[in-house]
Amino acid sequence: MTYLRFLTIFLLPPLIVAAWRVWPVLARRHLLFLGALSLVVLAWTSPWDNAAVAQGLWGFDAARVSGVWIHRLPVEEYAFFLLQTWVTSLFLVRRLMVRR
Amino acid sequence: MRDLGRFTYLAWLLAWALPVLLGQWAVFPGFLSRSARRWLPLALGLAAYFATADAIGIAMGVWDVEEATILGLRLGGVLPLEEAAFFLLTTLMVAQTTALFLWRFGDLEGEPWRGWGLAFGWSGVPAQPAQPDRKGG
Repeated sequence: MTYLRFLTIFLLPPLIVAAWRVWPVLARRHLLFLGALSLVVLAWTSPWDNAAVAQGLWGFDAARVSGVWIHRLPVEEYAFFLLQTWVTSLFLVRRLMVRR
Repeated sequence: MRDLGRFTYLAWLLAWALPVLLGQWAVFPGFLSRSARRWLPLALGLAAYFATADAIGIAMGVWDVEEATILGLRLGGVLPLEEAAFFLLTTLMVAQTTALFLWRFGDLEGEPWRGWGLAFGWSGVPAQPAQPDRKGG
């Protein structure tokens, strides 16, 4: 299984479900928040994840990634933590706004 | 970091995630404790889902962790304890941050935003304004 296939199977469906469910209550402020949160997540996670690979804490099978690397991480890794952020935050927005 | 041996991954994770989580609890303990029942169960469920997906990614050989840097306890024989902790802590970071911002936006029923002056500190009940005011964002 490639990393891209992993994301397609395990992250894309919950993102679609989360977006579908949150849509009726989603406002512009939430999208702005999500955009800002994405930048913070990238800034907070990228150096940490890259440094972990540099120190040999974890690594990726070069045969299962697209071949596009940014520093020491395949581009799919950045997509993973952004998708995880969006899935989590969108489900939470829906949950927090709809009932107590 | 490698000289921490089997605690390397765990230390690397906690040093990165705990300042955010504990920092938010230190600044907004009242709100986070009052509202936890509204975001914690869903966050735990999502973390379990991500950890399960991650275990499949590891089982399929998409990525793996260095055996010498982890405690060696693998849930289900596959998922390193540290990876499960990673998804728990990252999901909590996103969940808490989302709850805090929705609170600030005035989006939470029963938790009106009453200004920065009343946002801090520990209180078991929502802080009451000195005078009744209109609910606003």
